Amino acid sequence: MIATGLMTVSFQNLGIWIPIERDRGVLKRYRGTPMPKWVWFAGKVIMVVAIGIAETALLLAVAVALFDLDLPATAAKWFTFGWVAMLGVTACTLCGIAISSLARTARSGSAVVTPVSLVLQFISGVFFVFTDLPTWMQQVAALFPLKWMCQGLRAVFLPESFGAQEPGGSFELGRVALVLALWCVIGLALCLTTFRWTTKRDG
Amino acid sequence: MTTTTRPGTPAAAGSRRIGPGALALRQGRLEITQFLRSRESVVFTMGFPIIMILIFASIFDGTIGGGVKFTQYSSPA
Repeated sequence: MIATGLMTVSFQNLGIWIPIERDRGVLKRYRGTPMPKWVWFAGKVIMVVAIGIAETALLLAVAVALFDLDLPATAAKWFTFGWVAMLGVTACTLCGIAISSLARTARSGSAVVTPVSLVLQFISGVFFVFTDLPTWMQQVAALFPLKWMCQGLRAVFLPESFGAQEPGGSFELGRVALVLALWCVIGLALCLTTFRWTTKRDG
Repeated sequence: MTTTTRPGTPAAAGSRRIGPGALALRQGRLEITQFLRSRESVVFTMGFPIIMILIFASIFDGTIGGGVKFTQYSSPA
């Protein structure tokens, strides 16, 4: 649920809220101020990171208190936790900003984003044991970042020996880093080419 | 000749203008406040994984292969 939570707060949250701000003309007005444009994006990133950390801490606290979750014991595992979460949040934030341009009005934001994230959650093994899913579904999920965030975080919370039960025979941290980084690049490219500050109505 | 400084030049606005870094931090604080003031966001976005883990831990009780508890498996996912 950590990976899901991080995706919710970055991808889903931004994908739903940015179209609303665009529709209300908030973005158009920001663009009209002397504030550098990157500052607006930086504000979103700061928000996502802060809320993401708070959410993860809250979730860990609940899971430890109610379900005896074993926290990672070594510094190396916390380090893995850190970089997987950071890369994942970066990729999801960029994709969230990118998908926000798909919604033409404020109302369609959640219509566009919710099914995408829900389907991803189901096929990425958030609700089930990933290897219980049909093979073709696992392969589709492997194209998207959520599956790799889950797998990377499983490497942190599950014993090393469990890696043998992952589809690739290990937790494949190298591939986790590669796919997430690739999605950061894809997300950034989409943001740079498709981001809109105004709606079609504004001309 | 009078030497009036036009408003808007850095010299005139000097003391009030803040750097882009500080501006970004302020923008970040604004976004966080906006998020936290919308109670629905706090409950449903921040609370979503907690609600889900409560539900799933109640549905799937037990262990999966390798003696790993289901909650231990689904917490990171």
